Amino acid sequence: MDDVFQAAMERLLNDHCPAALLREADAGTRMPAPPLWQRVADDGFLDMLVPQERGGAGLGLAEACPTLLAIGRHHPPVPLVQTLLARTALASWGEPPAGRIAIAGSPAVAAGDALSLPRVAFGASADWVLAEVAGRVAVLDASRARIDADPADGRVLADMHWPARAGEEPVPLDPDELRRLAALASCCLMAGLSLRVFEITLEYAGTRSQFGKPIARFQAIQQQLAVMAELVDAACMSAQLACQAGGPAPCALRVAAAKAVAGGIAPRLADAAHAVHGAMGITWEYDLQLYSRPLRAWRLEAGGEGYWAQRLGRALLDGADASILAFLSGPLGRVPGGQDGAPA
Amino acid sequence: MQPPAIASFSDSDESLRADVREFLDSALASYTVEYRARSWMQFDADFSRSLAQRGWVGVSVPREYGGGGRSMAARFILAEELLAAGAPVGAHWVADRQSAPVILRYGTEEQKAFYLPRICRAEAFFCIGMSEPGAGSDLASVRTRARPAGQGWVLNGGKIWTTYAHHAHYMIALVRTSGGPEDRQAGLSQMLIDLKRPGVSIRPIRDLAGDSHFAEVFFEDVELPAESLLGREGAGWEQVNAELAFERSGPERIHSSMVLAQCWLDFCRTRPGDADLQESVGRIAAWLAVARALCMSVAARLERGENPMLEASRVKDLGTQIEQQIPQWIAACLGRRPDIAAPPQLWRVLAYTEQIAPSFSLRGGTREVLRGIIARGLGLR
Repeated sequence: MDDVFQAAMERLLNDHCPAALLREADAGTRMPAPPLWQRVADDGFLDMLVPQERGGAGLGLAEACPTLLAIGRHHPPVPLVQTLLARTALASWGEPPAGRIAIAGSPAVAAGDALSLPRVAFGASADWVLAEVAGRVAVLDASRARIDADPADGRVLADMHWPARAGEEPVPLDPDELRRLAALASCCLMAGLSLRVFEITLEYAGTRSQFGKPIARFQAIQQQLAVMAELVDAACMSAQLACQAGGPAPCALRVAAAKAVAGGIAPRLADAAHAVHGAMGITWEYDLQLYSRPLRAWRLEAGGEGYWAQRLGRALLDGADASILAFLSGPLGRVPGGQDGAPA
Repeated sequence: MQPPAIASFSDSDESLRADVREFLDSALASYTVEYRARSWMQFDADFSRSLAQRGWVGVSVPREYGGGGRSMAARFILAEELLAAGAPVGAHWVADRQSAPVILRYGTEEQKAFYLPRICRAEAFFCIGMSEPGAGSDLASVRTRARPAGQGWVLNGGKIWTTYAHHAHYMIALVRTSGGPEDRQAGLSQMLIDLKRPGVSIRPIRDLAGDSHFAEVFFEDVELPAESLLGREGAGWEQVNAELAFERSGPERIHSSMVLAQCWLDFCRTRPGDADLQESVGRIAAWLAVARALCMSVAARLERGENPMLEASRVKDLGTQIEQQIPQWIAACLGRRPDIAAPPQLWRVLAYTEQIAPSFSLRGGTREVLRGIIARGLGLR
């Protein structure tokens, strides 16, 4: 799974996304774009999925997957994966808004002239928000919103409130496509975070000593880590499945399957990592929480595992495939000539 | 840790799928769903021969030995279609999955020429001689011993939990050929045993569902010719681990509850629009999709000649968890909805699958042993 884009992204994030940057986001207040953002933009990553005829690098989603997982592994506090996906989805419409674009996983709530968006992923570090407003997708100006983030999940989620609506711009995306993009982004981020949480836990188990030997020498810990390794495999395979598409746009069925699985894995992995770490993992100071908390937060983004399982099940039950295997090896498993699967 | 990379099958391999499906649609039409739920635990020599006539036993065995000469991917596709449909493939399954590959890798030219064409014609069925009463998870403590005698060997001891030993023609057994139990992995060899030889007696063991698929095998002064030795004398441990890699990486590690899942899908289709049922079916499909992608990733590495033993162990443990979850998910859904009148076959297949499901994480190496292997691969032991 190594390629030039992934390697370049890894290098960039190694240099520009230290743990200190993740901690800055904990305040939950509005964040200016970190230096990292300019580097990502200068190096051409923002349009890596945009077709070449529109000035992008023209990568397919499947080819971009390793890079998206690398972003998840470092988890910079900016909507980077979301911006990549949003710019690609908007490319056919016109020049996407410049800057960081968050994708709201739930529709806006209107009250009179005011507008609220609950729990926007990376809302505090976005310039724009793509959101469903009254059944249509629109771009909202994040700089005009009041940010209200709960410190408990401030790094990822922020409540956003616009006291007076100021002409949000409609874009030609349907709300379902928007939710699919939000779910896809969360699958990639969960997969990358799974890798990181596992790496931290493996290292800790090898260095922490009790009863005169590293705790990794105890069978109970070994079995925990073995199970974690299997779940990491499944989380990463879910993200790869979600990214399997003939072009830059995701397939509805594969995203549904991926989110239904990855959402179930996230809390199990976070719990196992914390079990191995003991009290140290609960501290603010130790880095595990920088990754285990967002891993939990992404689980419910744009619908949890039950929502996506139901959508997938409905597609299977209402579809033409006589058997489960026909469904797995057909619409879910094959990418026929770059065609998208049926809507879930 | 490098996560497994997604893989796909070529169009030429995929082309096999439609033929197999068409054949199974008519060949299985008269079998009950309870019968099909047993799938590779169901011995049906006539069915195996009907597959062999179509070239579907030993598909990845080279043509010169009577096989189909096709890729591992073709075998994967064939296997998943057979298992998902609940085809009774128990007669030839062990020979096809692991005996033929092991003979191909370690056998002499004479052994290959003797056994492989008969395996591919479904005329030679095999069983696996690994476990003994005192050697389960601790496989290296086998006590069955072959002593050199004249030109050949004399075999004493016994094996247990041997699937279809009472119907099979041959066993590939792990036995001690030198040293004692204290020598552990050293001094073990693999033997090809003709189960018709004098001194071999076999007693089927009845399982909790009333079936007799496994058996106990006793060897009393069984005379074996020199050419019974498979591979190198003393290399039994290494060879048996290679054999287990074939056993652990196949698609049967996610399909054991597939007939039940299909039965559930068919029932749920009679109740359109029910959100509980949609979620249940979707959860099963989602987890199977990811597990299947992981299995395909292992198969692709086998195809490239790599040895993905650790990935195969992780996939097997994960896959068997999903197989074991499926009856529980369905039971939970049915239990939440006493208002739904489900058909009797569904209840019967659910009961059978639920009861036999603990065996899914025993056969081919217990869950606990596999997790130990995974931990060793992570450098923890």
